[in-house]
Amino acid sequence: MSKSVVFLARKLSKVYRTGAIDVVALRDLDLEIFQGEFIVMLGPSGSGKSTLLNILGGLDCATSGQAAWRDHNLVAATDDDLTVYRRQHVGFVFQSYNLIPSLTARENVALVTDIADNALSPEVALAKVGLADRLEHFPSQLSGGEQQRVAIARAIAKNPDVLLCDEPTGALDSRTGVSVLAALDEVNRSLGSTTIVITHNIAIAAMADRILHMHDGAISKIDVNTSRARPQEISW
Amino acid sequence: MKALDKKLLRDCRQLAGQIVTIALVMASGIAVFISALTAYHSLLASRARFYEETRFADVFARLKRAPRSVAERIAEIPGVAQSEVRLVFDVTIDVPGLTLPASGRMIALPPDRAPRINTLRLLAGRMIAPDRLDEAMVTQGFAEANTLRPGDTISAILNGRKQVFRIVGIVASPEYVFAVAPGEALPDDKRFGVFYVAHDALAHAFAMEGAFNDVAVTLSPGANPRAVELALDRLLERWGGLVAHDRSLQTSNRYLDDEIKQQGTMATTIPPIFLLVSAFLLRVVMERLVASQREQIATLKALGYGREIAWHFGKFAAFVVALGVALGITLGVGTGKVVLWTYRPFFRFPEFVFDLRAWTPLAAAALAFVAGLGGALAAVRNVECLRPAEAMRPPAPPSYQSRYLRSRAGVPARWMMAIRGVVVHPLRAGLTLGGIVAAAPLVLISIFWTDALNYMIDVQVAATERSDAVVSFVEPLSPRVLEEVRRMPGVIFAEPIRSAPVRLRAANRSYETALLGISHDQRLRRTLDENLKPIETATGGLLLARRLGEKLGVKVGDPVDVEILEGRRLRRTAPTAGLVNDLIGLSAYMDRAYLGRFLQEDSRFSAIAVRLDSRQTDAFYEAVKRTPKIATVSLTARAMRNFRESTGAVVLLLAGFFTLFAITIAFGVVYNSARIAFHERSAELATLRILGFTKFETARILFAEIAVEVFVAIPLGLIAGHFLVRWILKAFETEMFEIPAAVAPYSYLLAGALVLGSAIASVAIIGRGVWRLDLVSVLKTRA
Repeated sequence: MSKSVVFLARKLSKVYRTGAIDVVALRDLDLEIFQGEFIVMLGPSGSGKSTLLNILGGLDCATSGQAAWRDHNLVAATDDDLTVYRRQHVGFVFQSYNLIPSLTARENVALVTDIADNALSPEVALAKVGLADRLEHFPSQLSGGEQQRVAIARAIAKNPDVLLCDEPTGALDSRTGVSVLAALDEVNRSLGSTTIVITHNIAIAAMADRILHMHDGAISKIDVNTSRARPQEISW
Repeated sequence: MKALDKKLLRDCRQLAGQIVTIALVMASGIAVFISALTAYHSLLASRARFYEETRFADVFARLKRAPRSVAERIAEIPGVAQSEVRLVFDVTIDVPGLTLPASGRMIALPPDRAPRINTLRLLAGRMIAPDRLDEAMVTQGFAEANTLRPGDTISAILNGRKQVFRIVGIVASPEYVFAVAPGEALPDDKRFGVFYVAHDALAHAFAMEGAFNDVAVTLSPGANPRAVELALDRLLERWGGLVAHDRSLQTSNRYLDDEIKQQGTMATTIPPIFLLVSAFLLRVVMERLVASQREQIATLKALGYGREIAWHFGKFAAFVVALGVALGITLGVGTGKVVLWTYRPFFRFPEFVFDLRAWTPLAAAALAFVAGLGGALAAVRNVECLRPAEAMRPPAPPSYQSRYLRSRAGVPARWMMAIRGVVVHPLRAGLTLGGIVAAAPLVLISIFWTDALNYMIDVQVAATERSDAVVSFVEPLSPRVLEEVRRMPGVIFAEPIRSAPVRLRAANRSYETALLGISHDQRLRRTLDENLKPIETATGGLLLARRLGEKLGVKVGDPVDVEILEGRRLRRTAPTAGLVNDLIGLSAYMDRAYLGRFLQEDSRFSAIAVRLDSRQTDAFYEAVKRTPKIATVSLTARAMRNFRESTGAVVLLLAGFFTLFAITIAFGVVYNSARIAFHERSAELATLRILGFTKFETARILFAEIAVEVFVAIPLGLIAGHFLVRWILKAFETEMFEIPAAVAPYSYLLAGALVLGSAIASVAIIGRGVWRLDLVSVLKTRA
């Protein structure tokens, strides 16, 4: 692949110390992720998917090894460095949406565009996820799928280099889930954001460039799709 | 221990900060309640014990001179249990080393025995020997202020002759627990003392052998004091008797009455504010606790728990209240002791009885439990009503659809969060708002006393009584004396005053006071209206101190019956020409020339006010000491400055306590608000951090809502304080003083800043939570 490496991990380990017991979440993991890739991470609970995503997103620090986004060292970074990294480069989409209930769809997106450089306008970001007509709705007035699309709009409004999604369709039915995936696919293709999606849903793997299978804190297998399926072709 | 009780303990540990702050607010209220009531009871008890021990008289009368044979007729008045006639003279005292002229009240002990009423408690030294005419006992305050000990000597001008006395004993007298010189409103222990000497020492000096000029009587049980007073007045009228009065007009006792009344007012006005705020805090915290434990409650209900759950939360509230009560009682007893200690220099009881009534802490505890459990009741009722299935679901989100909450162009999203947060959580917003609106006035009333004292001094010294000294004569003198005083060293300017004791009557009300005759162009003693503009002593008209006018129920233009209580007891009706803004005392004024005609006398002066050259005051004082006709010198400005200095420390100490208590409210309220907001929004805040908001930006969003509330509440609280000060002062007003509601702009600023500071401190403590937010856990929460 001719594209440049954006994420690089070498011998990455993460150990959680809970009382007397050490829980190893990642063990000596090596990984390269390329510019504009759409990655799906599969694996059972406790396999280390979320931990890896958290480290790549600057939410958590590794215990040892190396992790870098371009020239940003994510292991040795200070808390403030990580805040700047998240602010300028990373968009997050959570399973539980995590919208601010007291803000409308437009304002939830504006929360990010107010602090980011080169941001899209909230209206444009919401139009990209098909919610141009829901700008003034509060989260409680939106369906689960709509809420998740607001969350995606919020994540992409800053033109992120990286889009990290933790079970984005986990709480949605198949039809709504597809509309959310379509939004992610559109963003990945049009903005070129490197996109990493964690899921338990094997069907989603079809729309990825590469599928990382994780087991027991390490990558057990990597599958490569020669052609990516359209979200509309997916169902579960 | 039952599992549910273990949960209770752990909940308490988790909410320790909130529990402690609520308990502190509650404790502050209880402390004020207990300390004020204890001071109240202690003053009452100390007074009762001392009065009983010394057989304090019930009725008092002064007269010019009566033969001792009249004493027997006094004893025969129905209702009189015991009576004592004696000699009392006000004299000039010279203490070695003291430049200022001091004045003393010389009281002769009975010639042949110890006094039977108004007896003395010997604190040091010994009683005087009846046959030693050069021995004296002195009251404790004067002795302490001038470091006099038994063996020291002082000299006194007795009827123009200097006489030296050796101090042999230091005493406490029930008549001078609060010792203030005649005609003065404020105590000045350095310049006024009471001396007890042998009967013959005064009788010889004042040519009063076989005569007396002062009467004190005790009443038999059930006697009518008014009837005894009237009988005394009738009997003594021909001997130059002034009006007899009961304890309520006895100067020392009146000051004690005032102080006791004020402590009673304090105990009943301030604590309810604290208790209400703490009940409110408790309610909000309980609601929050119940809301955060919805699912646990549902699970417990599903497991078969019933009323035990409400009881469980009730126990939590009871724990908070119990902590507050325990802290409050400890703090209140301590503060009560400090308050009593601050009284020592003013109220000279030989010993203070610390009287903590058992019912005081019990009543405080009962009030606190009623307030606290009342606050918790609503939350506990919510627990009772919750159905398990309903509780398993998250609560319905609040509606943000009011038209007031629509997006506004140009308002950043983070500010919209704050505005909507205030509007849809009215209870939480009301907590901060209400708490601060309650706290700010309490801070203000704690710190404004210094302003009031300063204002009193400014008005009384700089505007009203502008003289440096007022010399009073033993008897009214002819105008020649004015020239003599003008020639005294240091006197720049002198103005005469004629004063006469009078009884003023209007409708069925009457009041005895001094009528001051001053001239319309008087410069040193001015009569000012409430805007501090001079009011003329119009010919024939009467000017009354405003509070005296209120006491008599008269307005400008109303007639007042004036009876002169000396000489021929002349009576006349005079119209009220104006009301004077006197802050101290209840005097009446009249044009001096007109008063002279009224008294049917040639021009006579009873006192002269002087303005002094500050470089020659000592020479003036020396000259005063050498002038026998001068009975007393009043140095109002000095007395006021002295008062400010001596009370300054006390006022500051008490104000400090109060400020601390009031700040506790502001701190407790904001802390709880911030803590609740933080708990409820920690997921939101973590999301913001994940989205790239810095810690500072996140904290700013969290506290924007509280900032809005604090900035709205502080001005409201200060406005409330403006009115509370007036209301409290009305409740605290005494006959002797009007404390002006003169709050300096600086004090408003200081009160606002103190409240803001405590709000910032509590926010800073909660703000640490933003620094420690667990970002990863947010990703794991379920929708």
